Amino acid sequence: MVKKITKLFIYFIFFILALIVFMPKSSLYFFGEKNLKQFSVIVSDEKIKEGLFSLSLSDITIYAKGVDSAKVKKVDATLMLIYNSIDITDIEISSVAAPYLPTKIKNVDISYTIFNPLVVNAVSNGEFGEAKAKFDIIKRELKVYLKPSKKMLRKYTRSLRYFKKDTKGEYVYAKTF
Amino acid sequence: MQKPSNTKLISIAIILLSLLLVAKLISLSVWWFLPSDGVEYTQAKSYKSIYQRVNFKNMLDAPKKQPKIVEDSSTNSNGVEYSINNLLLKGLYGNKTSGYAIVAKLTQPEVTSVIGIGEIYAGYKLKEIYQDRVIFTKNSKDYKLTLMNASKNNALNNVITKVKEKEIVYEDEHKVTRNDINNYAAHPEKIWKDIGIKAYKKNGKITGFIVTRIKANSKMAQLGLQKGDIMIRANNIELTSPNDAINLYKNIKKIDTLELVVLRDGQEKEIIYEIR
Repeated sequence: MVKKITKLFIYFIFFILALIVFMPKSSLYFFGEKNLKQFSVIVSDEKIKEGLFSLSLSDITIYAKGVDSAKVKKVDATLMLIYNSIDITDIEISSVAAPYLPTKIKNVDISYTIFNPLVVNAVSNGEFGEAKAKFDIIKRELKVYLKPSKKMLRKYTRSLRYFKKDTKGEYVYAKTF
Repeated sequence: MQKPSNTKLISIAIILLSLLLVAKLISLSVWWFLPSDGVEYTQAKSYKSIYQRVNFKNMLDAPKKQPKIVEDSSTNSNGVEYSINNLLLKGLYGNKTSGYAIVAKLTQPEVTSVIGIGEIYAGYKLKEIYQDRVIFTKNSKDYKLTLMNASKNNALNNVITKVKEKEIVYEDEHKVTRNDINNYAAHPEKIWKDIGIKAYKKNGKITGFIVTRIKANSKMAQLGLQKGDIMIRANNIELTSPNDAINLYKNIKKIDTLELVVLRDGQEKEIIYEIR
């Protein structure tokens, strides 16, 4: 019986991996892009490279409500069934936003694993400092824990007002969708 | 260890191949319904002027250094001296200290000459330019010549001894320095300290950007904008989205002339900025 279940499980894993390999990742991305357009967000000028288990985008310009909002050097999306991740490197936010937040973000890593299926995690660092974020899928709650850099503390105190300082000295932002 | 039989291996291979086939079929059907291309942002608007603006300053400055004598004689071919009353002022451009006048002689009104400040025509030296007249000088005396239409064909005027007229001021033309622009570009927060702007909507659509506040004595206040002005056009581009406004801000370093049309008290008003 155990042997049969193991066999079925192996077949299932094989099928899922085959599905990931054959899945038209670029087309799925285009579908996501068209959905984003409904929210007036356009991802433009990107170069797309499809791998067996991954999709890479480079030299991206993001327009929000028609405004040239950010430039992103590279995005790597890896789908490995058990562990899935999106790594975004070198984000430069438009200078228009410079009065409100530091414009350079070194990287943002978003990950999802089936061992913790109800939470999406993200870590990021950049000129603003370091941040960790958790999105609870059931509660639809986003929590961001920020360790602000000296620059952030010195120049962007107004933006830090959106965060609450907890007992550990961390700045916490919470929002429910 | 028991060696698997050929039949067993074949059945495993068939199952795996079947799974691959099913996975491929599912992928193909998904691919069929998904879009084959993405979304690209297209920017059709440009903030470059659609016409070439001529820099008159260079033209205006040149004659001042080396006044060119258009007609170095105040006498006609018969040796008769011209009176200012025998001259016609057909057009003018400029202000008190720089500009051009189009003049002709009463006897030959169709033959016109363009003279700059400092130049001599029929013995009279062009001294100053006003909105509807010019001042000539001859033998330390000032002569006023009025624009033909302005004086209703009574253009010829008398000798005047003193001119105490107010210089023509083009209120809607402002000179902006590159330094100011660079300063605002480097510190955009300063803009919002000096001026408040928000989208102005009509029937839910943005038709311009309204000035909600303007700091007195700030650089912004010197630019001719007033509280309540609705900026509707910049270099002939309609300002109908935040992107239009942001693009204008982003391209400000690249342009040397900005024609801003604002709605003030329900009337369109053009403000011109020459960025130097």
